[in-house]
Amino acid sequence: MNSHRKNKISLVAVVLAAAMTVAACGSSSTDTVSTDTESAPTTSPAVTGTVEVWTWNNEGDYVKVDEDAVARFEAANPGATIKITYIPYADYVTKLKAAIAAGSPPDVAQIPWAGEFRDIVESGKLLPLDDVLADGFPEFSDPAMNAVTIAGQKWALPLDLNTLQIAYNKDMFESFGLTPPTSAEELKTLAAKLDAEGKFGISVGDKDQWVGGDLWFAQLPYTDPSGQALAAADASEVPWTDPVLVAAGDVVADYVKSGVFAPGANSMSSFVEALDLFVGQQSGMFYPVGNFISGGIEEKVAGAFKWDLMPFPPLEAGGAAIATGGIARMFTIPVEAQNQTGAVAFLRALTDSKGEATLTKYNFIPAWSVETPADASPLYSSFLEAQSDAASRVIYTSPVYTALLNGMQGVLDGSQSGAQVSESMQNAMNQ
Amino acid sequence: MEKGVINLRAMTRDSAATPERRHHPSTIGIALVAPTVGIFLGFAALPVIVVGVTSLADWTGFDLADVQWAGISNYSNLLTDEIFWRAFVNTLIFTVATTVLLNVVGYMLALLVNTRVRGTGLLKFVVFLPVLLSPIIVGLMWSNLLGGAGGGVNVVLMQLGLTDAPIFFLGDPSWALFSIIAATVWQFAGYDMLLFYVGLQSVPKSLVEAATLDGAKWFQLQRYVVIPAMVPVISVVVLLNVIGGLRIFDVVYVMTRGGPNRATEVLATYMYELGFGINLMGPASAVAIVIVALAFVAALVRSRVSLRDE
Repeated sequence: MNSHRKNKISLVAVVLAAAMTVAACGSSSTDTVSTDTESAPTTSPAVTGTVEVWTWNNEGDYVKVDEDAVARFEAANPGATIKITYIPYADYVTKLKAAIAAGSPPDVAQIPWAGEFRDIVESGKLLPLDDVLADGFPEFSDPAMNAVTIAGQKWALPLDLNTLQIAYNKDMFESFGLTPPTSAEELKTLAAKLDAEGKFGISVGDKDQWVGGDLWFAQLPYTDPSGQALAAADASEVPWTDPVLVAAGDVVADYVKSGVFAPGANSMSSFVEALDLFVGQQSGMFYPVGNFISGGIEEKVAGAFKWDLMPFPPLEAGGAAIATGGIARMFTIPVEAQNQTGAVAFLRALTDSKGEATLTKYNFIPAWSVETPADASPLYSSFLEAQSDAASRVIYTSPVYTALLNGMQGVLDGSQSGAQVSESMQNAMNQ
Repeated sequence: MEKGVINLRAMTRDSAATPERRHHPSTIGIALVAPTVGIFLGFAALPVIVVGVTSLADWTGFDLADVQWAGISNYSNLLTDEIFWRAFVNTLIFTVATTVLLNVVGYMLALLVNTRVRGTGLLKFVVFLPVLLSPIIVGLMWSNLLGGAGGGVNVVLMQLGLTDAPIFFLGDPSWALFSIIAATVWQFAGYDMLLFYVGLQSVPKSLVEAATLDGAKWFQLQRYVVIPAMVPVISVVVLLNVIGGLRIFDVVYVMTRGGPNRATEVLATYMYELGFGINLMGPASAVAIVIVALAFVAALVRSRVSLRDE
């Protein structure tokens, strides 16, 4: 055998050895959770290794909630660690999809509640959690469970709920002799009075697009008192050009024409420039505020003025004011998660009695029934009160939701009507 | 034969006499070329081929087992897609505007730097500095300067009395695309300047001196001497600008995300929305192939122009 051939054989041997090593790594056992009801574990198996968690909520007090759960988890599971990665929301879904497609997802993944949720569920890459949630978790509220149920199975753990309302500067209102509006006309009058005082009405930042969608959702409880049209349109049972859906866009368009919103909404980010207008007392109101950002606003306001919350007013005086709401934060376990046992244990740490206490301590609304704390702040009480009858703000059909967000930018710059927005939503549905 | 002139006929005859050397490159030659060819095939050719195949399929991007053959429907659907055409037109406007502005500004700056008067070295450094920044950083910086009523540009304009009310550069459809074009020109003018500056060094001084002695004015000098000598450089710069314009994404995404209401939607942001926003990898790949095709046409035109000039 000559040296050239020897070298070739050596090379083949090295390649084979490398391939076997890679194959061995690839086939390393995945710590899985049974999703079979009959064989579901009743006792928690030992948790080891690292549990990788992806979330985008690094604002407000969510980080404190996470840190508390991590500390308790690691104390209860020596040798196990939690690695939380905070990814900006703008990149989050893209990165999660790429990780799932590549077969290397995190063990616990926060997931948005809109169209992306259904898309990822339908990809078959998430673990159904029916059996997991039935063992050692609180009894989640029915609306929360409905929101995470697709095709009869539960695909996510809802941690907490939120409501979106308008923040208003109580001191400014008092000094100008203003009161929270009880109808659409009163809101327009209020904005006009603020304008006369050199202040903007409601500052909204729609550069990131999602706020425009929430402005539309906020009017739906009033244009569609039945509360059925949104889900029906999402299920193709009624067209998106249904009059009650068109009217929601028209209400916002009317508010824009009446000067209710601070100008330049499309050029501002919600929690940057738009919030700065409110914090700097250049606008009397700011939308949207949920409990996920209320702590951040408190910090920015730093006691400079008192503020409170109110839903968008009903169209006519005398009606009940209804906030929009939904799941704030929900988590999934991908099928290909490497440490599924650890993932379940971490989710339990987030939702056990101590996790509940931490959530309420920081004014979050757990997705299960809790006692209102005796020392609840007025703001927290407002969240809890609004949550009880909050209206849905979810469209599960991604192209339609995208069309809504773009269309509402047109409404905010005065170039589109509610009918045009609905038409583009219907076109997206048809495609 | 004239001294100094290469005997091409003799070279051709010699090489024809040794066909083995021409058709059988050495092993070491192959080894030297292999990494480059491998990288090109793996990171350029193969991805384009995969995208081309994906453009003929329906696929959500999650599981290869879900790929379904769609024929040319993804392309035919684009023909009736209003958003695609809006993105297409915006991309062309952006490409033409940035190419023209970058060339004009870059050339002027190169001429200024080429005078080599005191301070031009610093100017060269300062103008080139933004090229080194990530477009994401540039986008964020310009977003802060142009965003809302309190952005830096509005503050300056209002303090100078140039406008009474703030201009919503990124929120007004009539301003948004122009704002992104301005940010792009600001970032890359230094790059074009550098290429033109290098090109200016290759313009024969004797030609410039002769034209000057013959009484050519500055404009005539540029029009009839410098620019004709710079055509090869200009064609490369134009091609780079065109390709850069056609695939623009990051600055647009950071500054406006294609908004307001699609006013700044370009092909790459629409491709991103289709692929990663609503999981339509087939149509997204079709848009990607359109971008590649446009860039290919630009390169072809440039190649034809170069051949004609030679």
